[in-house]
Amino acid sequence: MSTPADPELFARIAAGDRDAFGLFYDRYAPVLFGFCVRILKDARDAEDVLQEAFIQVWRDARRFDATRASVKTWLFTIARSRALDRWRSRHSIEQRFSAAPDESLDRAGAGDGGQETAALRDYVSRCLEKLSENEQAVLRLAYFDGYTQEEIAARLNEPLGTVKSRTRSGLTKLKAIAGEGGAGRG
Amino acid sequence: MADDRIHPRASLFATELATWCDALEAELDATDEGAPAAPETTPPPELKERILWQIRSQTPSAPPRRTSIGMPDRGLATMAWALGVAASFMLAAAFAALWYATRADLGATRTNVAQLEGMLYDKDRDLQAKEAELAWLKDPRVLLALLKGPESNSTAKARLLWHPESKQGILWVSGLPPLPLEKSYELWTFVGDQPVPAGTFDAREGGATVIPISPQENLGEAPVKFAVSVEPKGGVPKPTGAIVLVGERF
Repeated sequence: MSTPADPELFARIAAGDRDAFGLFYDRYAPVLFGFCVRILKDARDAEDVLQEAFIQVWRDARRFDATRASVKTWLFTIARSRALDRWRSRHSIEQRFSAAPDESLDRAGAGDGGQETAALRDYVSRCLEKLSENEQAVLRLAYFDGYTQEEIAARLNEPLGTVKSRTRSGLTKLKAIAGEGGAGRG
Repeated sequence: MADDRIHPRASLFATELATWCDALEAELDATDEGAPAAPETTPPPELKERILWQIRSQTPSAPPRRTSIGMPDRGLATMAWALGVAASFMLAAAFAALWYATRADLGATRTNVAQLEGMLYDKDRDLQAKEAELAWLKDPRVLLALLKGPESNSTAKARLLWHPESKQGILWVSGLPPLPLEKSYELWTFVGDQPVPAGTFDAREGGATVIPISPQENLGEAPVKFAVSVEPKGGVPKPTGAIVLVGERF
């Protein structure tokens, strides 16, 4: 018996077909779980994120727009976003408790959301300035606007392969910049 | 950007940015048809059951508009409005027929709505609790104490957070062995030399234990020393057993 392709399966999910959702889970859960473990490096956290992602897929299935991204891309974008939220939450608490006592108390006072977010955005923006214009363009849309690769390609009117290639080269450089101390040194 | 000052939290931002880069790279590896097959890891089998159970009373929600993944879509707004008006007329025409057809389902739908409202209420309450907990952790008045075990059990350690105004605390413990059923660990707070019992707990084998500490109404000022001893089950008013953890606040 042939298994339905993603679009067909997803149409059934959007119509409320739980069996289709089960097939969809079987198809993607192993690779998505591996993906979450790779980001979070913790199986328990990865389980939680996987659960949240699939629940969101079910809840938002009718909002999915196949003209903007593939089902697979949409699924991984959801999982990445939730995994990063989980990582930030866990990292924030770990930082608070693993810091030296004085530093810990300083951080406790420094965690003001708005200013923190603005400072982080400024930091990322400075790091991005060290990349080529083409790399900056794709990574700004990915980081600040949360666009998928397909959306970035459509927005920049560039082939998807080109966008992915620029994203990969930009990410490699960006990690090196962050690793050597980031935005302030250059 | 002429300002080249290093932000005091640049190292944290660098870690966050590097993690974001890793995540996006992982996503490209997993979704790019040309890339090698992404590694698979089988999730626990009960996870699927948990998810299916969670969606049992839900149906996918209708899209509010044609924006699915964050793309601004104002250009379609007019068309969407026109389609919406047309759809409204069609819906109105079909409404009467649908009404009779769905009357039988109305009771079930109401039940579903009530269940969803109940779930929403639970989630909202969880969120409020987590926000309160986070606010508590961020409070700069919260004091920190690190407790260590004796040389005979140097792996035992604990971290205590203590709020001097609410007189509440949280204790993370690791490295303490589980005790016989008739024993429990008891936390002591010290103001001066006087130990005040602050709650009992049991340790989990190989894992960390987190216990909330009840308000210590009888403490006039913030304690400076903390200790954990082995006591009879349920605790005692004054320490009698071996001290297994001790430490001071910073």
